[in-house]
Amino acid sequence: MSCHRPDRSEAAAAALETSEPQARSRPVVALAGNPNVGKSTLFNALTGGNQQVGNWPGKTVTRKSGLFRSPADGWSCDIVDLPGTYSLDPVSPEEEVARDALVGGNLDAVIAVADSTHLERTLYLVLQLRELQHTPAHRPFALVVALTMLDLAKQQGVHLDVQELARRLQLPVVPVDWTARSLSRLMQVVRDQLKLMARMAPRSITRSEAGRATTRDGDEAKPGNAGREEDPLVVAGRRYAEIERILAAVVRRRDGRTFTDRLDEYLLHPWFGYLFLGMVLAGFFWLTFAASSPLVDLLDRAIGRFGTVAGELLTELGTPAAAIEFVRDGVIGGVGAVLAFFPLMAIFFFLFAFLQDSGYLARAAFLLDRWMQRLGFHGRVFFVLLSGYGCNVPGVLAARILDNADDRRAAILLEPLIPCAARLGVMAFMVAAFFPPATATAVLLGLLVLDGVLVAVAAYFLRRRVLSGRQTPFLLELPDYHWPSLRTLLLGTWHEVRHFLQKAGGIILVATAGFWLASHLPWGVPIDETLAGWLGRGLALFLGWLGLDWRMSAGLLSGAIAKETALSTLAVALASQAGPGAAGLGDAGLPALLAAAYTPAQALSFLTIFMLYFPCLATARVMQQELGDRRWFAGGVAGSLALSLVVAGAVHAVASRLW
Amino acid sequence: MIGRPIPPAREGGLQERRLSDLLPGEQARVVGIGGGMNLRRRLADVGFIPGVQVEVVRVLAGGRLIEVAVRGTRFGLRWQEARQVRVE
Repeated sequence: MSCHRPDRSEAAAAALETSEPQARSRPVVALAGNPNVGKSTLFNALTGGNQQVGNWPGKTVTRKSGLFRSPADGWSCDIVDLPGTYSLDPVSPEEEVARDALVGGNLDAVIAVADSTHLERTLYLVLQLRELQHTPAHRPFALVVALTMLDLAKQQGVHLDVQELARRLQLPVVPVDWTARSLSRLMQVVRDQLKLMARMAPRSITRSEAGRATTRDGDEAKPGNAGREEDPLVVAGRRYAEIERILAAVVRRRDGRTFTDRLDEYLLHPWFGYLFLGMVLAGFFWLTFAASSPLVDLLDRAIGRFGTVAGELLTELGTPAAAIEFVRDGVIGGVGAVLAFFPLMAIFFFLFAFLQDSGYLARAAFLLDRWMQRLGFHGRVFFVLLSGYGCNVPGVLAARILDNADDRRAAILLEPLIPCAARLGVMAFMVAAFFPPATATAVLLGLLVLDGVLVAVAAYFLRRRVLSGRQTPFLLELPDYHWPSLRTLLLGTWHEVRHFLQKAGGIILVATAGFWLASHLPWGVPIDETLAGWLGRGLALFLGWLGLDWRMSAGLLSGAIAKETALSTLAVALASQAGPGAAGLGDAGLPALLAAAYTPAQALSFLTIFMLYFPCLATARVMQQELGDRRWFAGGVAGSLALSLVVAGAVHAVASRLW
Repeated sequence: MIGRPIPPAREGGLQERRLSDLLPGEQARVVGIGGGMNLRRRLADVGFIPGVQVEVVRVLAGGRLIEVAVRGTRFGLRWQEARQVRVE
């Protein structure tokens, strides 16, 4: 947690882990529920902008906490969004987090989120929580049921008697849509329950009927739990029998095929389903890139304009030319490098959230699982990897949808092997400089196929040799389709983008400015005499056997900061040797310069390393943060570096013979 | 579903059918769940318990992926998991 700014909700996180409940200034309320019940939407709606995203201590599990403040009287509480879980008996480390938080006894209240369209299943956790509430040894907490998606249930012809449900459950039940009124009603009920609880003696609210304890840890039997191991089927059977009794009195259903059934006829069709998935993915990438590129250009021009104006201003103030150039190209250029991510990330996360909230993402994962199950990973891993083709940064962040730690680590570690758009741009440009068009296309495709094979091999290796191998059963809920609310999508997108800029913006800025200095100092010498030139020379000593010279090495160095700069650094280095005056050469002259300086084998060797060696700094920063563990990060970086050298060696050897 | 393997006859005949043997649209009652503790728990938690009615909604990828409806919710399962659910 050390990488986070201290914040109000950080205090909530600390409070939940350490302090005695009585010592807290604000009550802590947890949101618990099955996956896909609208829990995160509720969390976003309750906390608005006041949230903190991080990892649970020592886990690769995302933790979200935030602050709720009543608009009416300023009453506030901390809200913790627990990972989605089907029950209090965890089968994955992620669910352990939810269980530990709920059973740990540090919560003042729990809002159990239940989906009206799937009450039979979502009440299961509610019953478990109610059992927990009545366990004599457990610290009392208030329990309130938030009932989501009532409108959808109505559309499906399901009528719910909410009052009867509350009576049968003997718990307060609050229907929740995303209006401010329903939210404040929910929180009012939570407050009332907290007050009620405070008034009662701690132990007076036990009821005989629910004396059974809830946790039945199989593998890691806790003290006091030994000898009470019951068959999960029997325990679950008892709970479901009660749910059936309750629902018989509460639910009136009109039978018929739902909208989701009719849509899935097509979207999960054996071949049309895959065709549609292909179109969705293509549309996803097209929108992310085609739609973001004019915005990126616009930002680029604005930044350039700003740099020019700033330069003129500094000139009038009598600033030395070197300092002006540094500010204009190094610092302001660095700001541009950070902002260039903005449109792309915003569009990506918006679309991603749309796919997820609408219910299609689960279908895509189901369809894609056909290929992923052979490698031993969840179908969602495939989707996450695919989303890295645009830019590795959102790809790494998208790995949060994976609820299994192994899958998540694997996806994050494999992500830098996916060639992002910036890399593809450099690769396409260089290949075109060395080969006639038809061959160039084949070569580029060859590189991409090679990359795909390497990803599969690396995935297989990770599964077999590195990861724990603790497999979570594959059970993918296919939620009902629904149209996500724009507000939720925008809010989620904004959180992701802001989070990224906060975490990675600074380091990109510093590195860009730093590399600018390295490639210009000592001032006034050609690039081969600068710090960057000497670094390139040093690196070339190790890379010479692959056919790389110092200019290519310097290109790789700058490419480690931002991929697309590899080409411009290489161009500057080539131009400075081609003679004075060639420095201002545009893209038109570069292919000729490249073709004159290198053989195709050298170029391919360079591109192979470039494709695999190191994620860009932004990706590296996000990877480090999302992995939450230095050793995994270091191992991943070392692994991809080693892989790039070995494969480049092979490519160089083969290519030297061919051309 | 062309190319789907015909369920092999096992001892006990129909008594020993598995969820993975059902054809799309076919309904059955769960009689038991095998496999590891984790799988049994997970399946039980979402409602796969003896006596419950399940329906195979569709089968994809030549039988490797199976969509099952239980208690009004649809789940995607792999063949390996579906095989552990005994039905009649």
